[in-house]
Amino acid sequence: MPIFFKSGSIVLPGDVIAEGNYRASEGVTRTDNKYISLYLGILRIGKSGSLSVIPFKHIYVPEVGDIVVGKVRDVGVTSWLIDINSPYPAVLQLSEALSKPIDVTKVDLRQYLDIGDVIVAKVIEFDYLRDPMLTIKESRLGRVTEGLLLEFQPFLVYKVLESRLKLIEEVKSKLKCDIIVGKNGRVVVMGAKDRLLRVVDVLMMIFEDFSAGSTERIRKYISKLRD
Amino acid sequence: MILEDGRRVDGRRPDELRPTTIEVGILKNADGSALIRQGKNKIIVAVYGPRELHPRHLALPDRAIIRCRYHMVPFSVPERKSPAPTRREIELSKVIREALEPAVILSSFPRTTIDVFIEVLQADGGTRTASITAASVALADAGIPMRDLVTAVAVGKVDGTLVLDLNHVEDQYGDGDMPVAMMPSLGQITLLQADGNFTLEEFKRGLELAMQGIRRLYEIQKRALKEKYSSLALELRKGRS
Repeated sequence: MPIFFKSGSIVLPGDVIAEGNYRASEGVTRTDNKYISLYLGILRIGKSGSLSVIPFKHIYVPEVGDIVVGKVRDVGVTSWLIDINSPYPAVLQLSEALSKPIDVTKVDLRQYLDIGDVIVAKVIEFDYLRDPMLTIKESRLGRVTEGLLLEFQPFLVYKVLESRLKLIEEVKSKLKCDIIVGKNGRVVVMGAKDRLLRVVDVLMMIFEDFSAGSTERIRKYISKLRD
Repeated sequence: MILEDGRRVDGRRPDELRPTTIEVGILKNADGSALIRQGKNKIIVAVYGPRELHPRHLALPDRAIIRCRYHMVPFSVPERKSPAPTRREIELSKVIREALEPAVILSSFPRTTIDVFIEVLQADGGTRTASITAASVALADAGIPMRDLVTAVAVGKVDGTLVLDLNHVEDQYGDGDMPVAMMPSLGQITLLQADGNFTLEEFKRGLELAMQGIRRLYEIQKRALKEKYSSLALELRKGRS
């Protein structure tokens, strides 16, 4: 039961990763006894024999419960259309945005959210048959009034959410700002004021440096930060 | 058209491919892209998507669709070609789409479209096969899940000899032409056309010859994709401290 690649090597669609008895996880399919990569990406071999491929270009598909950062694309009569950096545009219903009902014949929805506004939202419904539904009726969700929007490859965001959330918490407390990481690859930095450049600098390290020993190096760097 | 020493009009041996290079990620705006040079052929492929499909009624509830446009620019051939899509280009668009479809996992993105744009900048025979080879690389570059890459090459009969990877002259004045596309790892054929006369024996040997060529082209495709991303991986590793 051989594995033909090392963990961490680059694989291509169609590459036979292994033969025998393993577990095909994300990005790997099994035909007969062969495990085949579906993506151009990096192979990861888990301890229990699970094989997965992390694609270099990840296409974001919403899942219920995801926190995403969206941009208002269009304003409808009772809903907004939100771009969430995905093949599927999201819908924000009026009832999921405002706490009390309004008379849509009299009020223009643009006064709440206009085209180009950035929101932090949560996916509450998605089943591929209809476009995903969002809500902003929870704490920490809603329109972003000030701050900076950064975009990273969604696959980098996955890696960060998996292993580096602690580092982000540390940056938040050290530099006294708020950072929201959307699963769709967008990151919002709020309340940083004159510390903004330093926050961005650390975030670039957290999101883009995955070399050996980088986590420890970044941790040290953060511990030396002062606001 | 085969010389006495067994060489072809451009000096190749019968089982020799034209010199081929593939560059990946040459277009910033596209989600995936590739440039292939195969002999005098020069073709750019751009892939967009998966993305929302307009008009909506074309969308399928259980899978994505692929839309493919094969187009030759007016200066791609010696005599100016009208930029309007010809009967041939419309047919090739369909043929190329159908050669790519079995490889792409369309069920991952229901109701969306994957758009493949193929622009032939310079044509010298075998553009459909070169387009398929480049398009599958561009699809992989776009991060679209695929069972395998698709690789294509043509075989033909020139003066009674089976030859690999026909150029324009051999295609025009030869006795037969058979483009083959396949998913090399899976060993499955996704396109098989033929024009001219082949005996059963010739067909079998021709297919075998095409598979040899495909295996060599497959290595070129893989190398091109890995090259782009090994430099990206290095960049990621460089660090900033």
